[in-house]
Amino acid sequence: MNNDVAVFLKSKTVFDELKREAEKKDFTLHLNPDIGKFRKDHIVICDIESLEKEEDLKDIKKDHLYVLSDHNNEENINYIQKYHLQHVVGHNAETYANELVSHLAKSLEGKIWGFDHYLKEDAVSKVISLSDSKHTNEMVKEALSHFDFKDYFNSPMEYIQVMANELISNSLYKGPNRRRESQGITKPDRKIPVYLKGADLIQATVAMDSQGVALSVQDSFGGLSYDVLVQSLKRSFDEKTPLEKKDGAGLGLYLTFLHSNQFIVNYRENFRTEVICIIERNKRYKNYKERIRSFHFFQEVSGEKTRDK
Amino acid sequence: MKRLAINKQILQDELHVELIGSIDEDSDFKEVQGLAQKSISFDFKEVNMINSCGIREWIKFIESMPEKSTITYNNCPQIIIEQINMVHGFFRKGATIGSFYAPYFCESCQKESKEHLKAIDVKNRKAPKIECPKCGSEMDFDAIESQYFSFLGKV
Repeated sequence: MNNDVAVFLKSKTVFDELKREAEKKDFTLHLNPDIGKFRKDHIVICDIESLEKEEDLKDIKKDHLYVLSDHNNEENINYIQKYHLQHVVGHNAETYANELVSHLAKSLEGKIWGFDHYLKEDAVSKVISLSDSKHTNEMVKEALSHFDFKDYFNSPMEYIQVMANELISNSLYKGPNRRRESQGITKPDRKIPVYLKGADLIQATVAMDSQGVALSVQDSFGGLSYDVLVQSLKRSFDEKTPLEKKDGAGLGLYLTFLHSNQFIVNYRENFRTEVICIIERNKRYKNYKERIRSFHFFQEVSGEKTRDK
Repeated sequence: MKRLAINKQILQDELHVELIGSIDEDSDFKEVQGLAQKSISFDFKEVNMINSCGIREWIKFIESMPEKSTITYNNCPQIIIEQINMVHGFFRKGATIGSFYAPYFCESCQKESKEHLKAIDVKNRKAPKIECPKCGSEMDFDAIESQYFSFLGKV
């Protein structure tokens, strides 16, 4: 992969804005180049319309393809599923260019874990380590009490609490399920407390900088594959109902996705899953709701050396 | 997080249920399950969190309530309105919403406030005008009207 990025967009203004942001990180953007001249390991930015129109774009490796979308969240989930997209950026975000370039840099660097690509140096963070399902909400609430939300609309704390609750529960209950199944142990009901063993800790981190507040929940199970994630979101958007199953209601990822401005999953199969949710600094609830949700999925493949932040 | 507490009050044919705390996998509605008053109202004012398992528990419970009862949801905070709008079945068919909270924003004071509205005051999914209690300027409705008031279509 190199720093030359092919861009297929209708709007020259958008291209110019992206270019300005990209230059800060040494990326060179080429507007509507001959796609044939771009090798397959190049990064491509396009909009949904270009993706639908240009057959060649469909052959680009999905972890190299960044799509800017003006479509609503439900339509975007359909596009994600249809084209197996790993990166969709809500185009109406004030900082879409910065978001896109931060993710390009992350792709290029290959260090997928942690907040580093999203937060500035002035970020303050609070880490919680969990090995059981007791008191998780209290611990998250206590962690949040260290942050000042004066530059935000009234409810981000409520959303972060719900997101943390859903993601931690998913990690605690769903995370070890494959192991439980292989040992013939039934999936525990969410009403039953669970305890993780040994090194199977779950780490939740809340961090805030001048641009936003971020939540990361990381486990050492690596069970949230792209297919599992997209199927869960698609089902929830289509049916908008909970499922009758023991280990969850099947709506947690849907709620988490909808409560985030940027929803990012870092994944390595059977090794680690990290979900990062970012709410951008904003005084108005209306702006928060109108902002088209961004979706990013990064996968580290086995055989590659794990590079922590 | 406070576990869900339920206060109930029965006045002849009316049942008033006050929900306090967090609706989650541990929420137990047994105390009011099986009651069959003509009119049943739920007060959500003190509900401070609801998660996906809580949504499921609530739907199971509300579906078990007698069909003949008239059900009203009152004082719904924003988190409850969002569930009503996002999740099918959270709002039982035939039920009504009496009142709820909605976000407003005062540009002059740069302050958000949650205003208590009656559903009948929202006409054609347009937010009623409200003045800032501090400076008297008209506040902006701080959500997307068509989205926030979409529950009115379910009534």
